[in-house]
Amino acid sequence: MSLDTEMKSLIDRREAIKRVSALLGGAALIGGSALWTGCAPRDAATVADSTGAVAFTPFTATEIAFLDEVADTILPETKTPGAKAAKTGAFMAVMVTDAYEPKDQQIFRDGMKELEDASQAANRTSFMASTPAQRLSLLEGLDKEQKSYMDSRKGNQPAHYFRMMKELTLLGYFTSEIGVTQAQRYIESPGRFDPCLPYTKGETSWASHA
Amino acid sequence: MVGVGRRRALHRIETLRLVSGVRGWRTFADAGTLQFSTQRLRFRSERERRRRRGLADSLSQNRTFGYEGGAGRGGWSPAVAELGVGGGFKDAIAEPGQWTIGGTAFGEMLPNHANRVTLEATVKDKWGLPVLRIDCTIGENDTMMRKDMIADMAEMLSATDVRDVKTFDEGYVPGQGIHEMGTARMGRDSRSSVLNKWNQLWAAPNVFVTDGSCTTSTACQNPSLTYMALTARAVDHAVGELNRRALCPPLEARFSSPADVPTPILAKRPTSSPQSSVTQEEAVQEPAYDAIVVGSGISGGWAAKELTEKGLRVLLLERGRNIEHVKDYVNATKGQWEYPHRGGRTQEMIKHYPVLKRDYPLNEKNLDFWVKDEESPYTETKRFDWYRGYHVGGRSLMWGRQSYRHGDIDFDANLKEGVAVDWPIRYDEIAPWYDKVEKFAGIAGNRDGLDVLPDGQFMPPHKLNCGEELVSGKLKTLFDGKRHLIHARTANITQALPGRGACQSRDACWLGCPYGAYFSTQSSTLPAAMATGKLTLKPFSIVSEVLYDKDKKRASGVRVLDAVTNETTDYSAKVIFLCASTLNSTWLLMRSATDLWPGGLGSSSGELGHNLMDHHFRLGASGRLEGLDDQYYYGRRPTGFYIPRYRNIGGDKRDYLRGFGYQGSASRSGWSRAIAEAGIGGAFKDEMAQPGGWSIGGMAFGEMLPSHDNKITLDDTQKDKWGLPVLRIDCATGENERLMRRDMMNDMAELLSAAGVKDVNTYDYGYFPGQGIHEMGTARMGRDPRTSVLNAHNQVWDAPNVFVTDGSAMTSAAAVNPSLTYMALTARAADFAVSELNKRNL
Repeated sequence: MSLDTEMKSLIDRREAIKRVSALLGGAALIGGSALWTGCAPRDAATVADSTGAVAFTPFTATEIAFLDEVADTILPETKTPGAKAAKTGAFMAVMVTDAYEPKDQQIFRDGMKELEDASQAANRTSFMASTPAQRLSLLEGLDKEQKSYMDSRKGNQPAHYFRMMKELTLLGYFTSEIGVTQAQRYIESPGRFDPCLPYTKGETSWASHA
Repeated sequence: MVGVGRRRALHRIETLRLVSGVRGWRTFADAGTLQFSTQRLRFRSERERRRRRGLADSLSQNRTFGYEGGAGRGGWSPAVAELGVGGGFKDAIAEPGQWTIGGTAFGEMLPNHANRVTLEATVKDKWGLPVLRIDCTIGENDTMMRKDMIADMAEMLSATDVRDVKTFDEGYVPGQGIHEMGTARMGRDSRSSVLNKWNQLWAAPNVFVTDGSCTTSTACQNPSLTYMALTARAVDHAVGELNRRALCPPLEARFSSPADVPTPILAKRPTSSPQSSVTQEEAVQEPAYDAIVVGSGISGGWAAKELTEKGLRVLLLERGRNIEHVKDYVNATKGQWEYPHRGGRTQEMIKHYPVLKRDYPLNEKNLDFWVKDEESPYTETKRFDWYRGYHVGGRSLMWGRQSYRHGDIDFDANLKEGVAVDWPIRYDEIAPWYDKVEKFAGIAGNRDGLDVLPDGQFMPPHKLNCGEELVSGKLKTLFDGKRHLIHARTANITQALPGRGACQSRDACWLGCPYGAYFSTQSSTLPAAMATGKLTLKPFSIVSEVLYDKDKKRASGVRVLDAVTNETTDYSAKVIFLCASTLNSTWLLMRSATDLWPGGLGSSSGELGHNLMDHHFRLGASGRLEGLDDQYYYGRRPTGFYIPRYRNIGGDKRDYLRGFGYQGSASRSGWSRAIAEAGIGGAFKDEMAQPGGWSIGGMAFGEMLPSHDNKITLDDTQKDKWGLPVLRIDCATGENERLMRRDMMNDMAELLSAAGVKDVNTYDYGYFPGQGIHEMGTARMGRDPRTSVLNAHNQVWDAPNVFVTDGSAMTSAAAVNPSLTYMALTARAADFAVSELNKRNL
């Protein structure tokens, strides 16, 4: 994206920026090198490489299946396929492995266990064995918990694991081929710009180019 | 195959099986028999055996043939000639059949003068070019040889207990071997051959012919390996000859009059240059050019185009790799899902790009368009973000394309306010050059009739959307009508230009545009320069020094370090254009003529390296627009709106000098708003897949004052990947910028609120010099050689045949994007340079 388009994106997503959001083109993905967290600008000395020396255990197939189900609960199949069909679990694993800083990788991993524990506490069953209704209810509760925490957290406090999961789910789904071409509308080369057209509620967004 | 008799079928299958073992492309669909490896049976017939056959000795004495063949089990195809139908038959032939073995002979054909090709002027091909007339037949020797070619294989097979041996001869016409050779043969004597032993044309020693045409005899072996070897050998010889200058025409053959012959190349190179470790004898000398352009970005491309179009032979030197228009835009049409991290960044990338990671340029979509920080480090006395593109086209491939003119409000400012030095030009001198470059580059914009922002030569603008029109309309009656929300002026064409398509509203510009719809070196200036036939483009050429002749008081050429081989070569020219980008042109000047001026060429004023500027930005405001929920847009416009400077204009007087403009847009939010919203589940997903509410906002870009203290110097203690000293950058914003930033942020909030925008919020992400990617200055133009580096024509005061026309020339920054001004200055300077050459002033 051009600098100017990037600025448009800044303006569009201004609300999300305040709370640390996922932006394509290299900005403050949670767990990544957080440039725009609303904190005071840092100078060269503190914009430092923070990768730790601890090796990160790769996600197992079981964990990826778990993430698929979490993502599919957040964004299930409706008239369009859901997050699992878009292989969002695998994408989440790639991003946590490659893009997250170690401390946030830890929060995410621990968060998967916390989610499982919350399932046991609420429904006396594992998340994977829960019904769709149980899962939805569980994650709605976690969503409220993370939003309330994130809305009021101070700059240096860690992010909530469920915010991370939700952010990665949204990013993974809405930039997947299914998410771009089916859940939204995408034309690689629109051919023209119509500045003002009638819009009817229900019509989906025009997805952006890579 | 239907109806073919059994014997013939066997022969055909035999032949085709063997032949297809040799040439896998033969379209005989018998998969079972193709799956064996070809056995090459080679043997040379012995004279004794020939006598036994009764064949003459005098013919084909040293010529012969070989066999290519194979053994295999029959597949389904022999079934064609067999008796049988039905299930049992089908199952039987699905199994492999008998083993067979055979060989096809390939024989040497004698060269014969009568076998020739000529041009047939009366018949043209699809492209209007005359075709070839081919006149070739086999001769008696070849015919004689064919008897042995058949008989020997049968004899060998029978002798080794192969049963039912059958011979075949399908007939042969020349060409069927697909080994056509000769017609430009090598030889020892120019009277009886076309090429010499090095594959050079006797008639033109810098033309080498190394394919089959060079063959003097065919042998019986397949020839391609020999083509490879001859080619590699000829290339080696050619390069050796080039280095020995044995392939240069004599000087007097290349110039129209004796007066044009340049002075001997580098005859008086300074001998005590500390930064150069290469002596005159070691550096390879190359023929002279009329002009050398250093750098192929926005300015360099223009210099190359203008100078070649005016008839000069130009050498365009680029330190990085070539990126070919369209062909090398490898990610241009990819969808987001085609990137492993959806276009984002990884910790590994962050680790390797300590500078690029600081802002949006570090991403996996066009990472290869940005310089590798590890290869090209620099020293920061204070934080300075330097994002560079070291490849053909430079940052003209990734730039933001916003294109605005400077006006006299900008050219007058230094003089009126007692800041830095006066620009040595005014608007009326550069206006015709803005006209020219805008028309060629293609700028889409609206003629708004504002004094602060001179109108230009525009194509129709990219339209404002409903949200922008709404606010723009409201502003006409607010703030005394002094704040104007206008169409941005951008180098994305709305009408096709020669060789370039109109913008398709993809907004993927910085990946390279397959339509050529935005201005870049690749889409625009380079094709024009190439079309003249006078341009030589050399990538991987790092110019390490401008070579200066102190007696003539002129630059004589440049020294180039090959970025791949590390070899050094000197090139000479009458005129040098430095367009290596702001900091690199100054770096180059600092490294040149240091025995005369320790600070480098152009340093006599003490201003070389000083007065570094940028545009400071990254703050503004945005808010929600109501009442437009039944409106949307189609297409991804690659630009937005612009609000030109209104501060310190007319009666307005602030507590700071100069001013700022805004770039922004209105849009409906997309799925990313979902991150911060409460909600999960199906209804949530469907809602987030639809556009959200409208918002509008603008980010301010402000003029940074020139300050002598903002400077670059050479840092000899740190070297880049090529062993060259790096730059030390010492630059900070000052009080004027601090005060201006208050208005930059608050004014937008005030403007939006007054226009009815809701929930208006300001933001300031902080700014460090360099982040604007508009670094300018360090070799400023001026009226006086004691206080400037360049004169009114971009000539270095100390070396009038050296022109510097990139951002380093800027005497003040103005508030507008600078690249259009670089284009205009370059075109103007090129015109001046050529007229000076013609007057023999250079």
